[in-house]
Parts: sequence; C-alpha cells; structure tokens
Amino acid sequence: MAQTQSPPVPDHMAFQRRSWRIERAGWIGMAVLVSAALAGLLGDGPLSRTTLAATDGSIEAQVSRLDRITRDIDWTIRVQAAPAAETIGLQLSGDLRDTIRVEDMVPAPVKATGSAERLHFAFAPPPDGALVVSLRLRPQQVGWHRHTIQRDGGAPVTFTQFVFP
Amino acid sequence: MESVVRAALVYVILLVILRLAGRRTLAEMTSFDFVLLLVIGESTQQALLGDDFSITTAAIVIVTLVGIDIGLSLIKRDFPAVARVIDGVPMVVVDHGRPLRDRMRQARIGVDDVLEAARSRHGLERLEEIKFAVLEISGGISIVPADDPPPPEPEPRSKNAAKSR
Repeated sequence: MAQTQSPPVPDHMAFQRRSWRIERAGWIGMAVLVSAALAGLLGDGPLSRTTLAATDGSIEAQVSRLDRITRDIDWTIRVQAAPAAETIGLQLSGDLRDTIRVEDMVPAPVKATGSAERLHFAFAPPPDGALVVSLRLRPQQVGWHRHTIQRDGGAPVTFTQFVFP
Repeated sequence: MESVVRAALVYVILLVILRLAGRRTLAEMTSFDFVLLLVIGESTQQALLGDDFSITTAAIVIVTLVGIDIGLSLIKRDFPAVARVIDGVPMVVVDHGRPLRDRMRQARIGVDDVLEAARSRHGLERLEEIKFAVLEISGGISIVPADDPPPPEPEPRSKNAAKSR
C-alpha cells in the first residue's frame, strides 16, 4: 500500500526565500554601516575632521564636522597674535556657546568670561611661535549646529557640524 | 572608526580566550558559570564604549560584532578546516558501554557527566545502555542509546539451589 510521506511542517518556501533575500540585503546594509563608521561618516574618523582657516589668517582650526553626542572630541585652534597684543583673545560663539560643553582647554586661559552670545578666553602670548589651543569638547545636543571661532579683531571661522544621536 | 576597531578586537580576544578555555568551561551552566558570563560581559563594556552614551556608537559596536559573527559563519560554511579551528570537533567518549577514559580525562568530563546526560535525555540508567556518547563542539554530551536492551541485572542467588517446581 503506497503511503504519502508528507513533511511534519507546511512548506512556506516562497516566504523563506523572500526572508533570505531580506536577510542578505540587511547584511549589505550592515557592511555599509561599518564601512561608513570606519571612514568617519558617523563621527570619529578621517572623513569627519577638517581644517578651516580664517580669511585673514588669524585663525586656523582643526575641527570635526561629524560627531556623536556625549562622545569627547578634540579640536585644535592655532591663533596668530595681533601685532603688539598683550593678550590673545579667543571667542567661541554660536552653538558652540550653548550646545557643546568645553571640558578642557590647554593651555588654560588667564581670563575667561562668557556672555549670552559668546565665550571669551584671554591667553598669554606664547614666547615662541603662534598660540595653539587644544579644546576637548562634549556635544550635548543632537542635530545640526553652527559654530563660530574668532580671534579678537580677526575674521571669523564659521562652520556647521552634525551631531549623531 | 575607533568603535569598529575596538569591537573587532574584543570579538577576536573573546573568541581566542574562550576557545583556549575548552568546551566544558561554559557548557555546564551552573549558577556560578552564569554569573561568570555576566562579569565577562561587564568587563568588555568599558573597552567598547568608555563614557560614550550615544546610540550611534552602540549601534556601530553591535553591528560590528554581529557582522563579524556572520562573516565567520560564512567562512566556516565554505572552509570546514576553518570551522574545525574555530569551533573544535566532536569526539566519541563512550563506545558501546565502554568509557574511553583517557579522552574523557583530557576533556575534563567524568562518567557521571555522561550518565547525567543519558538520564536527562533518554532516561537511560547505565553505561551498558549507551551505544555512543559524543562530546559535541558545544560542550554538551549527546547520547545514542544501545539498539538491543542490555542483559538484565543478575539476581543475587542464595547458596542453596533455587527452588524448582
């Protein structure tokens, strides 16, 4: 007597094949994400950093345009002293004032003040060469930000930054 | 970029260390083993995230870890030699009721472990009822019951001849 041996579970091979296709597409997405992260497109990498200079050469800033929230970032600002200046003044304004917290600044300024619009730091001129200030910052807010960095009496450096969640 | 590199390094370190620890280390889940697993997880968290609370970093780390896992599974599928190195090989430890003591000693399992597996999986009571016991790559012990029922335990006989009718 012939017996049909049917499998214990119903066949859903069309659904299964579609699931596999979605899975493979997901793997490609994951590979894209990891590549983007390695390149710095999600912050912290070669493509996220850039160097900007003021039009009059008073400031050259190495900053990052892509960052993640609550992740420490390091910026370096090179300031050319104005001739016959006793102190070098540095202004941080725009979103730099509110949405990024300055964790550390090396060298420490001799005087630091802040108004609603800007933070102002006065530095002693270095004995040799230009003043180089290293900033350690911690973004506090997600999204697009507009920052301005300026030496007293110099042209501003303005740039946008995106902070990932 | 750093997140991807950190995640990859942690994955490799964990893989190597757990592989060197041998199969039985994490196979038998006593309460202590469970706690040990949690502690190992906690130890790697700092290295992976630091004080970075961003979702982006968490996503990058998770995708990197899972992605490496998927990648390795594909390599293991196509190159069985690699699978042997990474996962190990299954090993017969009991052959037709006869325990292979040297193998069991090296694998750090005892006859009690085999009998426990036989009891919990098949309700078997004695070594003689086991055709094969295999230490699998997962560290668990699988049992193939003997085909014929083993001879029954001999009844203890009194010195006098059994009463016959």
